[in-house]
Amino acid sequence: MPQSSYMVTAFDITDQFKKFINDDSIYSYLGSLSQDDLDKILIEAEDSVEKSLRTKLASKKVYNILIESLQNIQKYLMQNVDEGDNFVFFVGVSNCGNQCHITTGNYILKTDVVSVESRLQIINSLNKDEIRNLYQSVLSTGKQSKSGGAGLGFIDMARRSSGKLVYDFEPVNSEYSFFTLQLNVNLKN
Amino acid sequence: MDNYTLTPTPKTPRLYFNAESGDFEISGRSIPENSIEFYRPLMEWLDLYSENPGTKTRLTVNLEYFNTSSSKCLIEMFRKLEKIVDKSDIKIMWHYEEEDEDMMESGEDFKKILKVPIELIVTQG
Repeated sequence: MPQSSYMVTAFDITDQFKKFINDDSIYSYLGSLSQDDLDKILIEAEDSVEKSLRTKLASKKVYNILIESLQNIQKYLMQNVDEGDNFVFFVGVSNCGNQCHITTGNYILKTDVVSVESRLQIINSLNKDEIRNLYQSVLSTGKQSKSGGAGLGFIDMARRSSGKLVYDFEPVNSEYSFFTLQLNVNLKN
Repeated sequence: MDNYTLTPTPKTPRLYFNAESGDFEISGRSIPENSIEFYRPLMEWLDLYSENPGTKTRLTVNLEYFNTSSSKCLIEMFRKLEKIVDKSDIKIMWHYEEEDEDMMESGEDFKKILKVPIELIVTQG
């Protein structure tokens, strides 16, 4: 985190974490996101989700979105982020009654904001059937990047969750913005 | 040709591809961080199989989880089978757990996109 005095009011990921992740969360993590970290997070999150949700299907639904969202952050959104102070992110799963909220926050390069935001805007302008059609079309014709990215991440998350993708980009410095994404998942009893 | 088999891990599925009987199976979890790399040897194996396939080919897909990069590999795999429908009696059996609408819809998606016969099979949770 920045130490200089003129950065006192600067962006602090811990503030963001506290703002978005409530005390009632069933799982939360704030820290780095190496491959080992991600493996550990997935194991711990699956365990917490299974213990907290009423049915196997509900936990499967939530865990599926978690996998996609965390791999999307690690492989795509953070792939150009330097492995320094900004190589941290958070995730939280909370309020799992009839609806679960999955919130993630991560640094992204400012130069990536426009393309990410335009994808989210397109997805949010579509209804459920249109999102499914878009998914099928990208699945059928889209090319896979060398890293294995399929261009399907956000579409898949939108499809599996309920309502719109709630997102925000907060400026951090000249190089980075901080991206938060909240996914709401309706659960059947 | 040799069979292609892999034991499952927490992130990768069991792969059982029997060249002689034409019985193929993908089951478990398919959430590797690099799906292309994981599936590449299987794709190469399928290219070889396609040159001289069995009279009958049955692919059972029974996945608990799969990420979107795996879904691109699955469609590529299914397309390889689609190309040999004239040489082999091919069917893909897509299993999903009862009430698992997401997994059922995924099967329907593949069915809509592809011409190769895909049967959706519901299993008891």
